[in-house]
Amino acid sequence: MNRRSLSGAATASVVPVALVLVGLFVQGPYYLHLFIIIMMNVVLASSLRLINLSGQLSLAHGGLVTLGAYAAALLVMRLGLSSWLALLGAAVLSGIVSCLVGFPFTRLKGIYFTMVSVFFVQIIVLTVQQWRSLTGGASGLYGIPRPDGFWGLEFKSKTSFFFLMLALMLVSLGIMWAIEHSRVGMTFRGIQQTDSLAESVGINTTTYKVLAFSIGGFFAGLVGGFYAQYVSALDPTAFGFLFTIYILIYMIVGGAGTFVGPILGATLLTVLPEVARPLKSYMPFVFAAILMLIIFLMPEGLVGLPQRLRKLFIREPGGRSDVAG
Amino acid sequence: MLQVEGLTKNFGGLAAANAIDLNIERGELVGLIGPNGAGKTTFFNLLTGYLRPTSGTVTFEGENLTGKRPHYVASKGIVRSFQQDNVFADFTVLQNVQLASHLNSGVGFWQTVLKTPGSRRREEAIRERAEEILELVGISHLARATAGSLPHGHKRMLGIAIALACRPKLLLLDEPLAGMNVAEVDETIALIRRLWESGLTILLIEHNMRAAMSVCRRFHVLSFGRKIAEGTPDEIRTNPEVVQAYLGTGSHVA
Repeated sequence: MNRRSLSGAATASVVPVALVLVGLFVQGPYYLHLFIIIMMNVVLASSLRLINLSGQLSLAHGGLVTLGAYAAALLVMRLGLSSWLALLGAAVLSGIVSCLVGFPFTRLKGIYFTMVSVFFVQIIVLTVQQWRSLTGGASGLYGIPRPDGFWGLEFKSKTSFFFLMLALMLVSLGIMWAIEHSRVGMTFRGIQQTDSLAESVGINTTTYKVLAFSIGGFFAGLVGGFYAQYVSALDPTAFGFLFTIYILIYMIVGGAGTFVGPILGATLLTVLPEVARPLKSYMPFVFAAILMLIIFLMPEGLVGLPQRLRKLFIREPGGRSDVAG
Repeated sequence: MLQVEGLTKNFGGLAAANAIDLNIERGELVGLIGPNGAGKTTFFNLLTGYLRPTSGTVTFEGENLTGKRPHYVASKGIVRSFQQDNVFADFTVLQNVQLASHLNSGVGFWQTVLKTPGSRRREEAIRERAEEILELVGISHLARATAGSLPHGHKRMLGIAIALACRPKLLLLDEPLAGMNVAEVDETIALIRRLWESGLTILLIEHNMRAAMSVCRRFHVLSFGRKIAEGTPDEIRTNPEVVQAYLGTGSHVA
């Protein structure tokens, strides 16, 4: 157990160090951009999993990212807030909106919850498109100011945004890890397994479901806010339904059962369309095929691959046999 | 301690519970019996907030609990076990009881997320108490086993342990003996008696009449959603309405 947690800590520290090296030595704007998008998707898929921990499959993420993106942009452009406050404000606002809609949404269970969360995305996207005076409507929003510099740091180059997103990702993942491994996370998982029993031992399942949904919304808003300041232009349909489905696929293909799963899934599936350029226009089809294969052949996700291979090649006596569960 | 007055639940035209009156005094061990479909589990669901009554009131220690949510009812001290196996299947047995100690955790969101020294001490105390409960119920040797993989009898025992972790004042047991083998039945009956002797008030739904008669001093009998009798085991056994409810009248048995 101790050895395992040590090696886990070692792995967990290798990745950030490797990423810092990437930021220091990789110069090509294309690769830096790719890494930034990967890290955004990692945070989104992980925050979707946090909601999923409490037994709710949310498809509201695209709406919350859109909300965060426009909030970050408009807080600076219309209210003259500092860009950092606007970024935090975007996350908080998405969290608050998740909380407000969370109370009616979480009254619904299973597929009904998922369905209203889809409509939520549509409502946000349509509102942004129609509210032209505020959001610029369907033609989008341009000239969003870059983050203000501090301590001699300037946010203009790709490298600077790479490090900003790296910091946001590490802090976000750290918070989500801490939540999952606390009593709160245990309560989420208990509700996921049987919410009737959770209620009977005095757990207010509504409060906890809304809490999970709000925390997920907070991080979605944060990523949206970062994106607005990074790209400095917004298109109201950028984070619509298809985008949300992609986040869901990252989580499931990587493995929704473990913390690493969505990180792995988001990374591999963000890289995939880049290495398979000729297939780019067929990507939704390829993603669907991958999703189906994983669901049928490896329901625990790609994180289960090493164990499956080990089982396949080494017949160890007394090995775990519950992989397929 | 508990006063139930005129508790009624209609599903469409069917009265699953029909004007049930029932009182329980502190320190009692009361049985609730009746043929299949008599409305016993419905009655538990009404009491604990899983179903909202059509009419009637539930008063517990002077507070009106009618129609309150289950977690609120539990926080007031009425805790139930479930008839079907209902455990946190992916957790270990010990984790099940630790999570069920939710009401007594007294740890705030940031305290547990940041793992403050206070919350660690609290969790340590909860773990020790969870181990004591497992000891009491007699499944401490299974503490590290995954709950979902337990055999039926042990899952039922764990269900009781989970309920005890909430520090109930009134414990509602829904057929705790169902599906148990003879040895397990004896163990569970002994456990229920121990819990009662330690001062817990218990309302027991049970099909196993002999076992129920061996522990309960007083019974309420339901049939078709109505309470048809109340009394000591002897009064119940000789009550003609009860006998008819269980055996039917001659003309009905064709």
